Amino acid sequence: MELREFSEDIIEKARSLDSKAVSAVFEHYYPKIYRYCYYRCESREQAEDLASEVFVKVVKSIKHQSGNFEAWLYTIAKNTLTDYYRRKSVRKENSVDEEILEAMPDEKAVDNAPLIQEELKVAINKLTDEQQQVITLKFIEGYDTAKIAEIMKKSVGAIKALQFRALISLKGILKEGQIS
Amino acid sequence: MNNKNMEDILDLCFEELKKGTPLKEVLAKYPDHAEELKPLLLVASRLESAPKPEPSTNAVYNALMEAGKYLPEQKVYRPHFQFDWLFRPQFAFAKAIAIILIFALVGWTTVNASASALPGDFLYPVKLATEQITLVLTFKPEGKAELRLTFSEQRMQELLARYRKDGIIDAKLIREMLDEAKLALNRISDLSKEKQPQFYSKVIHFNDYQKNTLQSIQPHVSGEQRRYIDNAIETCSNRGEWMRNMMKQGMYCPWQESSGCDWR
Repeated sequence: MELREFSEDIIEKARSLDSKAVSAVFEHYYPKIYRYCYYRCESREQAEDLASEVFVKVVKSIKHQSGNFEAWLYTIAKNTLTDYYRRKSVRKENSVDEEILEAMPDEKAVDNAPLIQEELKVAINKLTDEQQQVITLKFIEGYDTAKIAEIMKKSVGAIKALQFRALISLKGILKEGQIS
Repeated sequence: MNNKNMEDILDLCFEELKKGTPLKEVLAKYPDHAEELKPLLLVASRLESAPKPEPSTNAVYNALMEAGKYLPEQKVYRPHFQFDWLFRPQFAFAKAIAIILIFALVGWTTVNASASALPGDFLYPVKLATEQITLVLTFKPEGKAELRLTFSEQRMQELLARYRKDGIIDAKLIREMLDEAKLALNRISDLSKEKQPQFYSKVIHFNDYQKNTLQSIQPHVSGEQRRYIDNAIETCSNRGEWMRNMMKQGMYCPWQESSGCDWR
């Protein structure tokens, strides 16, 4: 959970392409964006590629950015993921759902791999897009409800409703798969 | 009560849990809805206590290089954090990096193969060495603390895998699992004041999760091995109680000898 807001001064300097400030933004947000992508794509490698793609876009356009930086950053991440899903669905038309099957942990992998992260990832992947966002921002990154509302450009009430429904879905998914 | 109210109550419960209030106390505030709230809060707790995935150093380096291309040329791209040295242009240093990369490439396959190794496996020492290197290369205090929790989680998964494979409860793994969790909490004083309550709460939930997992295999274990599990569960219970007491008093301190929370 991020209790301290990332300094607005640093973001302002990053907007003027100050290299130190840009790298500070990078250091602070790269792991967050990586995790945001990790729980919503199929592999660590893809999450790393997507996070990198997001930061190239950030560096390219940060000088024109104004307003809430985090909301802007997560919008870029969301759009990058949408493009990724689109590309993936085009590929899927030509092949069986092999990628999805590969992403599901097999019995051996469940025995040996970092169980929690992989299982939660599979479960989170089954939620709707907005539910995935709320779960990742709330429980993985630790943002409070008001901050998530800002980032997702929704009302606090809408975020509460989304997290309620997401947890009910997750409860069912985890129970169904005997993951818990 | 309609969904709208439940959504509000659930959110209030999260706030309470975040402050370190035990689940039982939180549920006691909403007795009419405790049955519905409990499974949702447990799912949330599981999500929060799961070790966070971290990007590889290599990925961060590559991303920095890629993003750096789009900064104006007159701006020298020199990150101030731990990757700073990667951007210095000294030729000798570049050669050193090249050599390291060659070794890294050779070692990569071994390290990957070692990820699922168990104690006694040929590659298990490689796995432990990789963990130690990751720890040394992590500079942020919160990163080091998170890593300790990740290692504790790893030891628990190895414990379960070993049990499933050979039916053996490895006492050494239990000790290491508990020691790593202890080392995570001992990092608390390195964290900023703002981050201490949140990390403390995380360790509490992580400790609960380990206790629940041990309890799930407890009935299937007998004899001397059962004693190991019983002791570990007792240790987790003592730790949970001690940490919650500390948190109630607003004291985010590391383990103390007098806490009596060590595994015997």
